[in-house]
Amino acid sequence: MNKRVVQWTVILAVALIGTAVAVPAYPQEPQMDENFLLLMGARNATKMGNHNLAIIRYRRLLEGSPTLYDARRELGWALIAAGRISEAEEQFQSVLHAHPRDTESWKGLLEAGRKSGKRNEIVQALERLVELEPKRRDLRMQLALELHNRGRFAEAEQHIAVLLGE
Amino acid sequence: MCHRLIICLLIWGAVDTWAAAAARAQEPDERSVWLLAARNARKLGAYEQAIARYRAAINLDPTQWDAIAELGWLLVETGRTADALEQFEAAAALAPDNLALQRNTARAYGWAFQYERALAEFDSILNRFSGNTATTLERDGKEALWLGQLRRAEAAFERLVELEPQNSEVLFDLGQIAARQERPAEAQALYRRLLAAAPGHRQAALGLQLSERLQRPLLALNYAFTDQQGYDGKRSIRYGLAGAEGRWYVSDELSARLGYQNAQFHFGRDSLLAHLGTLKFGYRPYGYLRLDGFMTALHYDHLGRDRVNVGASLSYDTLSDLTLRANFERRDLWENRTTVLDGITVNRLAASVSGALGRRIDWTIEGNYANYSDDNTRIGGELQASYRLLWFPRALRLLYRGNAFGFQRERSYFSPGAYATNTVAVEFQYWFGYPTKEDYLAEAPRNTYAIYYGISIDSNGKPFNEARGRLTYALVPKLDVGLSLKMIRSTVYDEWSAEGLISYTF
Repeated sequence: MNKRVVQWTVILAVALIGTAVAVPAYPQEPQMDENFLLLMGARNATKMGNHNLAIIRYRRLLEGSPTLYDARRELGWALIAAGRISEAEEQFQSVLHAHPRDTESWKGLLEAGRKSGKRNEIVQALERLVELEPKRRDLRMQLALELHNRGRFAEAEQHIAVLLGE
Repeated sequence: MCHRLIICLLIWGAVDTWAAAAARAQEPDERSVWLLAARNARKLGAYEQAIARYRAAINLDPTQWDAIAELGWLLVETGRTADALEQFEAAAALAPDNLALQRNTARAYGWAFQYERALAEFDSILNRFSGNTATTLERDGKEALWLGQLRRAEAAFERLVELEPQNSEVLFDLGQIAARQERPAEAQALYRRLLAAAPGHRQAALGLQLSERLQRPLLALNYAFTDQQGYDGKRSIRYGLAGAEGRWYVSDELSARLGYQNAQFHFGRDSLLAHLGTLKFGYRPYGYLRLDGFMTALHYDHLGRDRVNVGASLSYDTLSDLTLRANFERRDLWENRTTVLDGITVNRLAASVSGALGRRIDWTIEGNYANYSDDNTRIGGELQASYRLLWFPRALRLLYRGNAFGFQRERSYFSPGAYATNTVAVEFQYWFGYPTKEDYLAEAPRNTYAIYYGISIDSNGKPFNEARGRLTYALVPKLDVGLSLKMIRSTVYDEWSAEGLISYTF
């Protein structure tokens, strides 16, 4: 009898402890749902071509979770699509501040540079991308072409030599 | 659960982004790489490497006429015009409907100095693209330019540049025409316009540089010696002229020269010294109208005589390719001791018309009248015709000259009642190019030599042999030297003269 009382007591105690642990999680549940919905909603808006709505949703998401860098990068691309280039650059720079080797953000900066016609930024982004992905011939070709078009022929020649395997 | 979902969504998003990026990332095709490599090497001045790379690009796809044409341009730039022609022809064959390419091929023959072939190419283009105004104007302008008919060429090119404001070829040609008409400021404006449209146009940059130099003051020093003996002593004079002359371009319309010469006459054991101060001017209100003049103040030592010689010449190019000239001059007559010591002067008026028959024959007819201060007159006429065998930069011409004149009275100088000469001659001239061997710019026609040999028979049946040689060469960009020699030998008259010149541009 005593043994059964002990068993039940243990079970009850475990149940109580479990309940006590589980209870604080309940208030967070609405917050998690909102992030999920915001991200889904932002992507859906992007797919629909409604970039301004996507941007609003991404921003709301990042207000609550500023370290969601993938979402921040997606916001950068949405801003580019909406033609808000300087804001997009800020987002990519923000990601790169935390992750300097993030190639996707460098590509975002490259695209932003192209959209805004900032030649120095284009070269800088391509140089960094070639450094991070030295085997990507397309990026090296773009860099060589950019340097050539800017009259930096000697620098372009270095990359051309790599492309030609000289 | 939801947290995991968000993380999964972000991962899917990243995968999606990567997939999209991977789809965007295309391996550059080898032809593009070689083409960029060739263009870059060209910009670096590594021409041989650029040519090899162009050839590699073309080997990958022999139908790419754009790369072939670019290689043609590069070969032109490196002076390998014959190779360039092959490339332009190949490109034109691959793109027979590309008018620009066809016109380039025709131009390339012009750059190779194959003018008749170039005109034939233009005619072929006009047959294929009938009624193409721009090609018609370019063909007519080029033909006139190559024949030296600058006014006609300019008129055609000015109409063409209205149709094609960015046509670098026509802008360059207009610049060359302005340079040949001694209007450097206009040439410079055209070169600057061309360089704004095509910053890499090497010849325009060189033309601009040389044209700016032409406007700077110039100082020339020269010495000439002349010895004429014959006709029973009636033409018997020997003198040396040492001089210095400065030149200023006031504007495209007006230029001036101021010089001093010292003349030393040798009459047997006697000698006579004269000093000459000369002011010359050139006035060119239009490219086709020129007025040149001079005024010389002379002082003869020992004789204590002061004189003024003057002259003016007016030239007008008609739209029908004729050049009309009229000139007048009043000069002291330097033929023998008597004419110099007695101070005989001559007032000479001449008028001429010159033109061309077809692409090879040039002709000039001149009539002249002279009045001498010792109550004598002379009337003369001359016909000159030449047949062009070679074109620039080598010129080989066969010449004929018939000259006749008669004096009213017999005098101490050579003054027969009637006298005529018939001359046949051959002349060869070669331009070296400047400052490199392959640049033949109107601003720098200085590096050249010419050789002339002629045989004349006069109205008395006496034969004359005449030889001439002339060399001009730029020692350094600012310093030119020149040398000319002339010799006539016959049983009745001998002459020789030599002149050396050195000029410095400030």
